[in-house]
Amino acid sequence: MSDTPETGLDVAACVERARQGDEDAARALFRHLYPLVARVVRSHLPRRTSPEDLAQTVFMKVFANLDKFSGTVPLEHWVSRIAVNTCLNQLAAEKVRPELRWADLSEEQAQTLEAVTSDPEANEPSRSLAAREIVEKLLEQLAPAERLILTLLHLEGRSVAEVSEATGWNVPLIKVRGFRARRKLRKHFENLMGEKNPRAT
Amino acid sequence: MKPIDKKLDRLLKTAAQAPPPPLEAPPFGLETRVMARWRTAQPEDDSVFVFAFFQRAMIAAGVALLLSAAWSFTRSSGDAMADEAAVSNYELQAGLNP
Repeated sequence: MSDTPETGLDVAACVERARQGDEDAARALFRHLYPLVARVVRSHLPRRTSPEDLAQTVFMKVFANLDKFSGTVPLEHWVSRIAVNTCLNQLAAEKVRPELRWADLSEEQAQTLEAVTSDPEANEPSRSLAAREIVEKLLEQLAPAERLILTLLHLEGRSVAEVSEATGWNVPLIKVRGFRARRKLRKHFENLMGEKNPRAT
Repeated sequence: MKPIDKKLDRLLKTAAQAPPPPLEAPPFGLETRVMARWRTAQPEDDSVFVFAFFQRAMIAAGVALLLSAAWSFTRSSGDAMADEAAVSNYELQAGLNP
């Protein structure tokens, strides 16, 4: 476990006091971990769940299992895994994965897709938000684990090792899942582009 | 690499440049709910059990004391009658009664 230079919180001591029933320590842990949990939840938010509800579920699991935290990995990694698995379970429960059609895109999204895909030299940071929305819609068509892997690898720019720490999955598994997920994503993207221009792609 | 892969790569790279949404402080309601659930999940204070234990022990001791006093009373009453009977018997035997 580690100290947090930004907040000066002694995480190890806080965990121990929270285990003893110290409410102030539990509250401090909540505030320290909230940014991490919120980031994971927002990145992998199921369609029919509010981020607050999911964050609450994650924190209840964290506190319920705090006695089982051994300290062999940083607390943030342990909490990240709980958050990731909670999101995956909720995503799996929702099951419905609607096909994305060109007509589902907003005008801005459609223009962004045209611009980004037509010009090989294009680098359009101004279109990054719209591009992100399109990618997230495409990812919604994948299984939860596939969606998670591609989000971590491609949208968050994490290394395979970092993904392994965040999820608890081993490196070979991440590579295989990433490869398969990318292939499925390409298939959905191809369908979408095929709708826009049936004779292209 | 196929053209479709290159297009997808460009889309992913552009999307990755999107800044993450600003993180605000946790909503007050969320923190309140989490801490309330944390409190109810805590084990009860040991002093509650200790107090309950002593309370029951005191009651049991009081009952035992009453029973003991009652038994002692009945026993002493019986002994007094037995003593009188013994004295009367002796007097009869010794011809002491007129």
